[in-house]
Amino acid sequence: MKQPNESELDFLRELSNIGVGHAATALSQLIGRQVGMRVPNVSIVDITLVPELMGGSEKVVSGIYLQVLGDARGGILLIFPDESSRALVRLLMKRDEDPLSEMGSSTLKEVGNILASAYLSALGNMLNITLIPSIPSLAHDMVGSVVDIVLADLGEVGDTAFVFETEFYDIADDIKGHFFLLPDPESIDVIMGAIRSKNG
Amino acid sequence: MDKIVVKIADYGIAEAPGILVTFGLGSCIAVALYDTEKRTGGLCHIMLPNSTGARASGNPKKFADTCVSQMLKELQDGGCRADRMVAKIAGGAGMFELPNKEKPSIGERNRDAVLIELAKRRIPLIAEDTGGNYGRTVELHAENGDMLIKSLRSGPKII
Repeated sequence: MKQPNESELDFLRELSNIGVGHAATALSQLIGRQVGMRVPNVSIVDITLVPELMGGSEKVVSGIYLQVLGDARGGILLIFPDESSRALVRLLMKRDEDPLSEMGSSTLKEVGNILASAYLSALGNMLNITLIPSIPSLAHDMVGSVVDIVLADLGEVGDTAFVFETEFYDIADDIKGHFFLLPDPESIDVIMGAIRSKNG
Repeated sequence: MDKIVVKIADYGIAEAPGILVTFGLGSCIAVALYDTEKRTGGLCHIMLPNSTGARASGNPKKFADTCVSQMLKELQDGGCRADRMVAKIAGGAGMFELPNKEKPSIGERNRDAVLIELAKRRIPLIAEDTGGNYGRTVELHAENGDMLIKSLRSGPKII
């Protein structure tokens, strides 16, 4: 695997900003309220540090995990802090529901599905590659336990994760989240190849 | 007393009355080895079953086989003996319902790999709290070898 350089990472961050812009529009339409998303950071990090990046291993979160299929493979993990996942469910259901109840969990999975689909189709269109999300699954637990399966997948081939950190922001500022695109190491080559041919 | 924090893909060692803690295990497994006479133990937090796969590389402490053997060696270098040791494990959950169910989950594969390592070294596994679909935080109390397990689903338990 050839590690991307700084300007390639910058370009990837710009592409991701466009991708999450599409995702934010989809989410805004779903909840009937303006939501923005930005990607402040695209980084290559030691997988053992990822739980710390998300606020420490014991912080309670909702995690929505989708596998990415198509020309590049990997995973997408959306992490919402407990309060934010409850706020999302309240906005969509117009009432309080536990994130683990049937209604709560299917609502959060649907949010994950919409965000991931919008993001992947925007990224795929820009790079001329096909990226399809699998059906989502949900866990509501300590962040360390939610992310370790993804880290294990990545850890099988290396010690680093390619992390797109995404912030959600909206007017009331009560929904925050992280969006992690975790390509398989082989798929980083596919993505970087598409970027190099685009970027000239 | 401060607890010694063991990070993911790492291990720690403590003598009585020390406490080792590792947070937020999902599919990962915490393996405790405890010398009942010397009252000294090690706790590791492994992510993956074994280091021998064709694609495997990197930090040896992320794999069950290499991490357990490194931790055991350090315990033995410090005067512990394998024939006085007992093992306890926790973790190995399946946090997400993944589509390809026919394959054993990483949590199950991790557990199997740990059992093989312990069997090779003839260290008896005397207690375990594995599986399920919830996260665990695990402490090893070197005072008496107790393993304390905390989760959001149920109260703390000691094995």
